[in-house]
Amino acid sequence: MIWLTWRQHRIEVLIMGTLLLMLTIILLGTGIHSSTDAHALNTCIQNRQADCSAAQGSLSNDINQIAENPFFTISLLALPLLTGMFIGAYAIARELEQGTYRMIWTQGLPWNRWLWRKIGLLICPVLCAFGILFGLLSWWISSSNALQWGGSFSFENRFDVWGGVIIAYALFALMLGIFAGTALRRSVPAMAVTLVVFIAVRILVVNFLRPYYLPPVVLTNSLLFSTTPAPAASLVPANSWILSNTTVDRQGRPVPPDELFNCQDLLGPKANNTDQYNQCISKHGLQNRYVYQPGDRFWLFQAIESGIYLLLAALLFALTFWWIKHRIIRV
Amino acid sequence: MIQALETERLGKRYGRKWALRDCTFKVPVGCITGLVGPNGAGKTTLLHLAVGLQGPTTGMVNVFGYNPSRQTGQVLAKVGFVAQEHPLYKTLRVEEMLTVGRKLNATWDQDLALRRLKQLGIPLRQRIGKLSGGQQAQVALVMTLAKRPEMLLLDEPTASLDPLARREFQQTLLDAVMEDGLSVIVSSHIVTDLERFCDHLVILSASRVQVVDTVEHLLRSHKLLIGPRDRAQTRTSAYTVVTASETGRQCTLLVQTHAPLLDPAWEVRDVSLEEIILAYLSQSNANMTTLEEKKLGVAQ
Repeated sequence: MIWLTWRQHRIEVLIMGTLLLMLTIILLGTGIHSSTDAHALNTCIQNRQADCSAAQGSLSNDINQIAENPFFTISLLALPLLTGMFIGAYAIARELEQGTYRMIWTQGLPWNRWLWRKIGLLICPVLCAFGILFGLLSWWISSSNALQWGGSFSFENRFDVWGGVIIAYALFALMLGIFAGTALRRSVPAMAVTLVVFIAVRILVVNFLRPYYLPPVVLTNSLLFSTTPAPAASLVPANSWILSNTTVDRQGRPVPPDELFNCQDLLGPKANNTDQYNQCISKHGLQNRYVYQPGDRFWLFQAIESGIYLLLAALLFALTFWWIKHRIIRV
Repeated sequence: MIQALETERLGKRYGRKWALRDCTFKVPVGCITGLVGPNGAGKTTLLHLAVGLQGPTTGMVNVFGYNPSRQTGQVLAKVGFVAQEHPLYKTLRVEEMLTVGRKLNATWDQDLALRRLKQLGIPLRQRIGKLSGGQQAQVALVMTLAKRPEMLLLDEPTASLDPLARREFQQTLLDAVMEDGLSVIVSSHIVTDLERFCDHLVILSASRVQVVDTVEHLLRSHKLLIGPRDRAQTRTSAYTVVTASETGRQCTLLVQTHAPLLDPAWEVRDVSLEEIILAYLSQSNANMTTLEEKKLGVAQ
């Protein structure tokens, strides 16, 4: 069964392997380079040299070259989907559409044991490949101190690519492809369905579930003009995911922008009158209201989202068995 | 005594349509049984039920005493199945296909497989898809023989083959059966195929079993009677009319006899297996038609 599964999927696995190898080379190459730069920056700071901006600039540049590279990001976003489309959707559908299930399910292994092994043998390499990828990404982030020096490494934009959820996405996509192929009995429509459903689920989760895994923190701070710096407690912590930032009045109702602008005009180039500005703000009771998820919830959120996708994958696994038993064999 | 295949009131329904209904018969061990009927009669459904590719809607089916749905492993260990159009992995080489069989079956006789393929002149390095239809059918048959089954179930194995390939396939099959004393159930809509090597016959039509009998008894008990038309009306217990046709004043009856025919007005002839099968198939068609007419009548 190991031999047969390899024989049937070797082309897809080799293509996946090649992609993984390319990503590995890119990550290793840039990771080594940026860790050298990070080391230089550390030395500069430790020696208390006057100007470390050149060293900092070159490190930020290293980091952003990868973190903001659209091809890199897109390929990491697409990799789980491709797994589902090119390995999952074909796995069972090809047997059903070519009629070979009648041959392979009447050798020594009954269909249910065949299915366990087949799915297990597909899950293993997918788990390995994405596990390695996640390991490499984590190494890359830590070796270059990317969270500290990479300008674009916020909670929000490293969540989908640089976190462990990529493993769960891949398993979900694989099982989605397998189930779609089983239910539709055709590999090409199954690929299309995998594509559409995977993207739809991802978008729904990102927009409607992820912001509320835990109740967000609400913080209001003053809009009053002050020459002393604001205390740390009144600021949103660094690396947080800001869900909304609105101006509200005394009753907590959102304020239309032009009302705020009326006050802000008092600070403009025409009349730099901070007292009048502060009076204007106080009169309306205007304040800033932030709704955010603190940055230290990153790994907790990763775990919650991974759990959701793994649960969906398990559901699709069970559904595939049910479908074959009750819709194909009709016991 | 354990039967190779035993069904009792076996039925299979797809949606609202019955593919097989009320099917009860036994196939003893060591027989070569032909399963004959027009396309859509339920032959494939019956064979799929016997290997656990389908589960029955009603009734039961046993293969060597095992239930194919619940004891699929035990059934598969004893049965070699060649599905319709003998599906194989077209991109694999012949030797790789044998590896699949070796890895997935508890018993596997690689020597037998290699010997038979060599006899047939099928190159091991060739991809399955590049072989002719006849060769592919042979590879599929060799695959099932190499698992050393006690029974072969073959679903229209020769339907897509040319006459020469058909004859070669049957030869391989007969050789194997002679060597190992296998039970065989082979479905076909080509009657001459069955006449050559079957000893039992199951005639399926319109989702139902019409006849289950040995070929020998079928041939012995069926006669063609030719005689004057007016005599056709007189019923006797000596025979049951299967089909009747009339030309002018003459009448031709295909009958199943229960006792010697003594009436000198009838000319009695032997009939071929093909004629008997066709008579039963057209009879069940006629019954279907009258049934449809009755339904229409009720509706009106």
